[in-house]
Amino acid sequence: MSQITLLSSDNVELKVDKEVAERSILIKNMLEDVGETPDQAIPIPNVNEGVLRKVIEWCEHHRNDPPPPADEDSDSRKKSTDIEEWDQKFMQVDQEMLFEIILAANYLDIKPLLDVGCKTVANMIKGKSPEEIRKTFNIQNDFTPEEEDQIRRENEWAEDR
Amino acid sequence: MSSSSSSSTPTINNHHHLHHLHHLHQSSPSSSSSGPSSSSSSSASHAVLSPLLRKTHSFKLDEGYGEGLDDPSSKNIKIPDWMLELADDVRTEVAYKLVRSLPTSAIASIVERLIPVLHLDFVALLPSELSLQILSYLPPRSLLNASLASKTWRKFAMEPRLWKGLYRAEGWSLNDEASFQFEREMRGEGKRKLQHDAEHFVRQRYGLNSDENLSTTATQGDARSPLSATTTTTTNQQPTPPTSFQTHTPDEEDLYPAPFPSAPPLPSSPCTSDPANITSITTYGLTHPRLNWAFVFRNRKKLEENWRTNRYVSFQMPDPAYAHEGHSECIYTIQHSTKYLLSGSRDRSIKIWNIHTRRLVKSLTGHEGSVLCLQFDDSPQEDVIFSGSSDTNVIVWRFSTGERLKTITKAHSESVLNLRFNKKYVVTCSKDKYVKVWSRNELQYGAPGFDSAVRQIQLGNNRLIEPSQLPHYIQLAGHSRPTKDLPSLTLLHTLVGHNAAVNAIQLNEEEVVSASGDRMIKLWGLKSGNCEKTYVGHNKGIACIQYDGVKIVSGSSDKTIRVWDKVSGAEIARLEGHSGLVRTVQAGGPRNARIVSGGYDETIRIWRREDENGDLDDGENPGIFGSLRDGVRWRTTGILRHVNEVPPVRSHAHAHSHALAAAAAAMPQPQPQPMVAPQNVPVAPPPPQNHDNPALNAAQNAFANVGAQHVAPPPPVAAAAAAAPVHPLPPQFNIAPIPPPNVHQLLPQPWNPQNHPLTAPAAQNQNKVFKLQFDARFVWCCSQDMRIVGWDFAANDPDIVEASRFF
Repeated sequence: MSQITLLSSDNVELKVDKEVAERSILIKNMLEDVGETPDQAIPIPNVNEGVLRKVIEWCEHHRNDPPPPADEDSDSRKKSTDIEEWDQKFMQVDQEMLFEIILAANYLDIKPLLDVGCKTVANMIKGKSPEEIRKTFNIQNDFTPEEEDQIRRENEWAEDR
Repeated sequence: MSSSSSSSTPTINNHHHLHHLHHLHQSSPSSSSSGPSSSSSSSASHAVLSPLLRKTHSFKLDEGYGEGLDDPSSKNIKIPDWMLELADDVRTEVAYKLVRSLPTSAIASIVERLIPVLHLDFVALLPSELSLQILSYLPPRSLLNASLASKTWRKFAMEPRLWKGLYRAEGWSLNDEASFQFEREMRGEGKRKLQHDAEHFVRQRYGLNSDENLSTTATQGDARSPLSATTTTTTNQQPTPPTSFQTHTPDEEDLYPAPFPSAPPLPSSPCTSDPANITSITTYGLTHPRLNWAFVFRNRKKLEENWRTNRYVSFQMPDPAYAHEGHSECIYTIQHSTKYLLSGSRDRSIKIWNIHTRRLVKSLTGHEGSVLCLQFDDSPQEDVIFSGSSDTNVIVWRFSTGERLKTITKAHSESVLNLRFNKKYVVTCSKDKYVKVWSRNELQYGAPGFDSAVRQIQLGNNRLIEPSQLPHYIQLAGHSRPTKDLPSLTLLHTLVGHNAAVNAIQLNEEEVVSASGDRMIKLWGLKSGNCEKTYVGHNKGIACIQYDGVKIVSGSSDKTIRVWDKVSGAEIARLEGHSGLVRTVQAGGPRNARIVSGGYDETIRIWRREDENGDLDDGENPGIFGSLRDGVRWRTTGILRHVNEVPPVRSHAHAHSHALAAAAAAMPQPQPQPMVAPQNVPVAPPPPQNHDNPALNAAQNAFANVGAQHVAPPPPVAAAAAAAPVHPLPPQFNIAPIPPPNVHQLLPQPWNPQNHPLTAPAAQNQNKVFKLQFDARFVWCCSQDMRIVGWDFAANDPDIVEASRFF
């Protein structure tokens, strides 16, 4: 199994199986462009060591996943926030790490990881009241009481179900 | 968390981090040669501090939040270098022990101060595309709650793209054409507004593209994200926005350049109070004015709720003020598009109605018997009407002009009971037990279908082309090329197999299903002309049928509606409730969970597929009508009665023109009122009385004989069917003066004959339903009455009416 080296933004070299690294479409396309396994470390200047290790851990676990369906119609399919158990555990991190993983997955183009990250955050919102949402994400309420009242009234149509 | 303690290094690191981001967004990482310099590793383990935190700190400072922070003495405390150089786990332990040595109140205050570290507002921090992706996983209720978190969150949570996705996820029909056109118009408007400086700035700075699909790829998303734009200004050391914006920029933003702007600034909004108002059909969203999909979603939801709770208003066509425009006898068939409704009547005419004005557009005459069936397509490409009649002819009309284009004379030897067409075929069925398939287009020698057309000529089935004429069309030995193409409407197949009148057919691409008085449903392949499957189960003749390529829905004289699986032939649902022959049925609605049926019991039933909890059964696979799975059932949620909907009279109504009728309808009349002051009501001229020939009536009303007494000799299964009730048309019509528009609401109400002169005993059995059609908002039906009745489930809600053009 050929290995490649990734260089994190804080200059730490991480060795990883090529197959694992290619879960990242960005890296995969890059390697295809280069044509052969590069001797030098590939700089990932946007991702620090901690986050990169975390991302690699995810890619290791999912190295044998089948590729996602190409023509997935994200609009029409019913959005589910179900997350498989291993991923749920994997995502039990502080918010800073969680958002860094999302940014890294977006940058490295690892769509399934991006999806899991976004779903994890969505699950932190689901079922919560506005107050609880504010607390969870440290949001300052900048509505006047009147504005808030008005919006609450407007939202009543969705109260049932 | 190791990165939270330092107060001086992060700025540098932040810049450093941003520098890389900038670099990444400008070019591919493989070309990154200038990599991080050695300076970055000076502060060991927390060398790269997340840019996220910087923003949060400055935000907190803006708020003057965190009481203890302002104490000057606390700012001077410096952690010794040797301590910072300790390993993470050691510092963690030291910090923990230090904290534990404090009184609980002090610990609580530390916890409080750490909130900005542990709880991060991602909407302010992530590129907006990623925030939107996160929110796209939320159901409507959660999204509405999120919209109350803050003004910035509201803009994101009300973003039209999210609500369009939710709308689609509900399985609701969507008029793409209308919404695209609306968006195009809005974009034109948006462009004009963009002349405004602030707008211009927002676009330049954030480069947001409203039409971006949510699922952008990484590089696309980044290139357009606020992140890259801000990074550019930061690294160029030119963070100064245009002067017009400076007043809105907090000073802190210069001191701590935010890695991610907290969404487009408020000045970009035209409305200061609530830029994302759900009560308006347009919204500013994140960028520029657009169709407000939250509004569309909300009103579709209200509309669906009206279907469930039977909120509607009924009306009739023609508008009662123009009753003279109506048919003079009963109406056998209707079909509507978004603009027009066509009706075919026993008075031998086809009438084209404007759905919006409820006025007659045109009346087409040409048939010599009742018009029993029709189908039209008013699109400019097709512009055609096909009609079939008890005179055995099929007529092709140009829709736009009413011109008679072509006639298939004696298409069948008896009444043409139903017809359907698509781009390739016209299919007709008849009381003569046959289904016939005609080519819509001319057929060149050797074209698909040509051979079967030749066979029909050889068999003498083609009335236009004698077998002796064949040499003009085919290649014979010694001759060169055929001299003629077979004309359009050439007969391709005669489908033989039914033992009784074929009452209804449905066409789906290369397949036809047929329903007959012989109690059987047959599936035919149009390429071969062969019967591919027969569905048996109904106890009496079958009057109507629907087919979507997967499931067949049929209505029968045995009073049931049945749903069949096309492939297995299994009966997967049975809908019981009608007390008479089921003459017309349509399946559809969201997730195909709605069936509307009408019959000779004078009622229209609305059925809903539900699970055991009474909730709409989503069906794991949309497109499937349901199955005999445990707990799934079809329940009648509403009953519409044609007679019931004949409106009570409002004495002042005659003063309203048709244009005012809709406005008048906005004032619901809670109870039907007894008919008053008939002299105030515009009365139609009495319809021609032409019912003195019961024999003719019975012959024309072929459909009344669904019970298969045409079978001669009756096949074994038809014995019971022959006993089916036969309902020839009553010899007399007794049509009362037609009253003005009906605006009552919240039906069904108990049917009270005393309030309805039309339902006097003499008028029994006058409203057998012949044909209905429904869409997202309306049910239309025709019956033995001369009027077309409609039910509008928007129920005079102006918002639903406004949104409904996108349904």
